[in-house]
Amino acid sequence: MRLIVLAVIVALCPSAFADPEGDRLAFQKFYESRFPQIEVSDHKDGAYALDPAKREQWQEMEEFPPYEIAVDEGQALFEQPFSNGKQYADCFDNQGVGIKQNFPFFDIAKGQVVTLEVALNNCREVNGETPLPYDGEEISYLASYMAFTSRDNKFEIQVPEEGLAAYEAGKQFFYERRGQLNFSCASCHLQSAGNMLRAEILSASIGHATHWPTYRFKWEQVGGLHKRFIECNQQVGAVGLSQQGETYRNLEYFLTYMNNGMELNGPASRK
Amino acid sequence: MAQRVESKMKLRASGILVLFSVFLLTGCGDDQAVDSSVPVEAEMAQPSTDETSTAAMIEKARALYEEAELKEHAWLVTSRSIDAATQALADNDDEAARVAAKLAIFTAQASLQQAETEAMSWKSRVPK
Repeated sequence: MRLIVLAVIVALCPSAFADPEGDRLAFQKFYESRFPQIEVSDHKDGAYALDPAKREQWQEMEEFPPYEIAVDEGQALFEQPFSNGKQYADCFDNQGVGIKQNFPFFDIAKGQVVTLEVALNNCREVNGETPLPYDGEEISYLASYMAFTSRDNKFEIQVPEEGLAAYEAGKQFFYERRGQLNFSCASCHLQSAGNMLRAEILSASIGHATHWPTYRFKWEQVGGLHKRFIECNQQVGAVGLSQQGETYRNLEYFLTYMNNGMELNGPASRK
Repeated sequence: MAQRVESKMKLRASGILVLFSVFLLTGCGDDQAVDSSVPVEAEMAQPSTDETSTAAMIEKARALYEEAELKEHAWLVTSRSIDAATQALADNDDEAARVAAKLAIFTAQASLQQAETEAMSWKSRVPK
């Protein structure tokens, strides 16, 4: 009888038994076993941590970083006063400098995950400005500047009890197969991390949240993590979801929690 | 004798309970591709009757696609096939429209099956 009750509780309310820290330790252990020669912290460089030749090429490219303009533009936008005289800095802790390691967070009052991009738009709305489109350049520039000021800080994502359901939803999305190819995020970046996919090496998820926004040569511009989520989903034949929609925010929440303790090194460049 | 039967029954009932609980706790453990034994294929294997209008087939595909979209499991191929079927119908190419609509229905049903299967089987992939 006890077993039935337990089974029913688990089935109806999986978040009641969620253990984010246990998940993170198991996640980290998986990569430690898979790549014993690589320090977990080195995965912040994505696929470049896995291949010395590609890493060398990437480091050469980093001498003239293609995201530099985005950081400069972002700073100018960040410091530009709103029509009411206030600035973005007035909306954030520490005037918005060096705080990206705390994003995304679960807003208990609103009952949802708040990413940096959402917080930027909330700031605009509070100050009477129209929100920026999430697929536009301006929001990526602002996030690039804020990421730049947060470099070397370590992720400290918290999952309060109220945020467990959002965390679990993100976790489910990460492990769920989708698209015509029937792949999950984990199929490529956990089970097959380090393997070649045509000419590219599949990166490990353990460093996936550290370096955003990113200048992707394929995009020829700086873009956010959700833009990459859409691309990943489409690559396996699934219809991508909307940037900063609840599902991708939950996914970012889970993925960033898995990166807790890792250094931020955004913005970055990727092929 | 009756006692032995009773204790056997109890043992069997406990076994079933344990199995049921393990299933709920861990998911079905099936990490395979979409189950091909589902009725989706059986249904698709039946040729659509001539009475089914092409427009109705496209409509059915669209409804299934929207259902998959709601479950966040829609496939690009379905969307493209619906577009192709709609375009072919507009061009009065009924044969091409029906082929594309059939593909759209088939892939939409497969995506819904995937959503159903994955609702549990994702759990088996979480590192322990």
